[in-house]
Amino acid sequence: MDAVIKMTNLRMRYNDKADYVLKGIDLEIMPGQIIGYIGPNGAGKSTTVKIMLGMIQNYEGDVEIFGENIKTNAVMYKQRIGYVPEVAVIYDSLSGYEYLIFIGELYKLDLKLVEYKAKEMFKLFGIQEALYNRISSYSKGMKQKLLIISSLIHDPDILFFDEPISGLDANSVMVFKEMIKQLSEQGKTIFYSSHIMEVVEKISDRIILLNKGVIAADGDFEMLKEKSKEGSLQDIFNQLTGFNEHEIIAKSLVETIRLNSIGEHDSADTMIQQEV
Amino acid sequence: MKKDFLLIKILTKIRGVFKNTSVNFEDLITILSLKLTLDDRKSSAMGMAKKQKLTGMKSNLLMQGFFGLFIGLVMLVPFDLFYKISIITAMDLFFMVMFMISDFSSVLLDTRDKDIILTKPVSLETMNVARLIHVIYYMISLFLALNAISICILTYQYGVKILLGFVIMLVLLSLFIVFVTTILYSILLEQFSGEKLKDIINAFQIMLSVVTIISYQLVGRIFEFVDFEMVIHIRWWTYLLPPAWYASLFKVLVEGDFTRAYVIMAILSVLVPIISGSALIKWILPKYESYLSKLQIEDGVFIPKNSLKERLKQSLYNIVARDHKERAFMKFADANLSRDRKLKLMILPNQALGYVFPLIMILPFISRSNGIQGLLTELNGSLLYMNAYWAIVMFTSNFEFMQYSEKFEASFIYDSFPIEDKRVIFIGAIKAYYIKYMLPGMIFINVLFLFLCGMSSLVGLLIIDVMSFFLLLLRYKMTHLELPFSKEVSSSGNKNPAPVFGLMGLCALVAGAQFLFVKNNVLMGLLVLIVMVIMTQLAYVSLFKRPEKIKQN
Repeated sequence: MDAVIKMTNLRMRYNDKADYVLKGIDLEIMPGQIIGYIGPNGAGKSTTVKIMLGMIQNYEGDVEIFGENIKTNAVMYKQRIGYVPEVAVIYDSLSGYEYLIFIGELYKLDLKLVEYKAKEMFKLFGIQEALYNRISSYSKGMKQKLLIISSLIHDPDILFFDEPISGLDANSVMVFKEMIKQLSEQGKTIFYSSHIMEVVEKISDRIILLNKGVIAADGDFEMLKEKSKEGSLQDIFNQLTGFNEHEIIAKSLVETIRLNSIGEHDSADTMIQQEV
Repeated sequence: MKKDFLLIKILTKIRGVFKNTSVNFEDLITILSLKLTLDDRKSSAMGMAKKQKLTGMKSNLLMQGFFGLFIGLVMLVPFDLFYKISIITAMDLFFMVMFMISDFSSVLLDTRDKDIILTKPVSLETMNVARLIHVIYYMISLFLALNAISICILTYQYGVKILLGFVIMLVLLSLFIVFVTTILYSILLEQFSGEKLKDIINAFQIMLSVVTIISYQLVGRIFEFVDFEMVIHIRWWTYLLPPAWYASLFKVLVEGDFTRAYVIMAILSVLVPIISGSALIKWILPKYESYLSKLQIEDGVFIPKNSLKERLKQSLYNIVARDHKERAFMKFADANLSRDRKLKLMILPNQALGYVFPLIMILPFISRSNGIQGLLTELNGSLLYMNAYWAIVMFTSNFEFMQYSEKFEASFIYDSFPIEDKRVIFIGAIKAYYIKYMLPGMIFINVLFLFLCGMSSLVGLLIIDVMSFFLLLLRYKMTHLELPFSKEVSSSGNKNPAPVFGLMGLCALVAGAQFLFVKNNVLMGLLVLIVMVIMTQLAYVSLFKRPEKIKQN
């Protein structure tokens, strides 16, 4: 089977003087995998995703999606990908319905089908009453559901999810997790980046841990566990990113919170030293 | 979304133009109808209380049409065609560039397009062309609104031939403006990053609104300044003025005047848009997206400073507000007033009017006399300083803007924090507003009139200073105001006219009384001053310090 996504020595920096955000990423992803893409803040996760979506062009190295270099064939591969961004950017003076029709037109879909799918999916997500309302009146969870629907309405083969479940209630999260499991069984590739380790641990076939612009670990959960001899993905994450002071920092935080006057306790300074 | 926009219909008729380009016509239409729909809804989102019939764009066009009427009147004066077209072009250039920077920066600098449209199978070229057409469409509407009346008058004067000139000018001028603004933005985007750039654009917007607002005030006096016997002198710098290019184009086209200078400038009027256009397409547009991504980088750093200015402000705050909560809200209001860009865009141009209005009012008195020395002796001891009340009307009525904020939702803190008496938020805002905006204005006015009217105006001016705070307190009481920074900034940015007229009437009354009974009489003045200080103190205490009356159910 051929890789659906292939990156070779991917490097990226935002300007000539800045440091590299991505320092040479090599990656091959097979169809039907759910990839848990994790890493601390600023590791370069969103940058990688933005490059694959064609939102950033001035990267170094090669990215192939569906076997084609996205620098030379920059448009048509997007017909087969879906994306849920981390921050909900949306033209929010449209209604949910109008937004989905707009998206459908850009994907050149049959608008009757889009309309049917939109109604059906709004109903299944339990927000059917909001379909014709202005998006600016949506709650956070409703906006998130709309983003999820808009990323799936054209039945794409690769899905990029960036914190897709933020703002969703527990029931919707269960629906969502089951849905992506079934989608992957039908051959869809899902690129799932998140900070919620428990979820990533449960749903991913393969976990890629990015730290400071390089891949720090790559493999399924069992493999990572064996390699690092740690219990949960959270522990593995902490170990691989070299972080083990959460108790000390939390303790200092609590002490700082409980402080009544300066001078009573001077642990604020010691904490900073510990962190460095 | 509806699709029956005029622009879409026209484009569908000329779709052949896009046949052999990398632009996908269907995508183009989809994106453009989205953009026009969004424009249509822009202000209706705000008008929750009272439904506005006109959207932001349409009311803007109406305003420009009004201005066009004045330009049209100027056309009735028997100038040379060269001057007439120069005036028209200068006005068009100014208003259109201003429009591009102030209203359309949101279109040119929209980063949502990138996240939503570019992640779909749409080519970058298609999206950029859609953007360009969107902008040019509004340029044309603006051009027509500004010039419709002038065109009618000039057609009557010069015959139908002149219409051809206007058609050519419309195309060239719109292209020229779009290209120049985009190139300007790109240069700014390349040089500066994120927050800094937004500040620069904000400064531009404020500057241009100041110029428009002031020129609206000056428009009635334009005939006083115009020298009717102008002879055309073309100097070397005339070649650098775009209005002169277009005026020459008309000379050549309409009057068939083939003087060398006219021909050269007419060629420039065609050449420059074409050259800047190709520069834009070749070098700038491909990089534009990466420039735009800079906008998303937020890099404002506000480390507490210990400068002299800060310390002065601090001690001033300590003097005027003893209560620490009040002081906290003063600092809060001050920070918001200096950082909130949309708020600044609303306040500062109106504020500038406060500085300018007294000057405009005393202008007729100044032009009559000759020489600065003669002027000063003539004005010494006069009551011209009463014009300071104009400034007070502007300054106090601008207080209304304090209700607005770019991030009005954040006003939840007023409810979630333990604040027993919400009046403390207002008094903090009032004092911060006074110190930040009114105090510098009042100092300027005092210095100006002390210089013009001499020391005898000192007591009178002191009364006016006290009145400025008194009237600010009255403005607060006059109509119901929302808590500071708790209302969404509306696109029109217009003040509620009722309190403005109210304040104007009050000021007229007060100024009239002062004019009739106090004049420059020192004793009388001091007496009034003391009474006013006491009254202000009383008003202040009864408005903010006396315990709130418990409302009966």
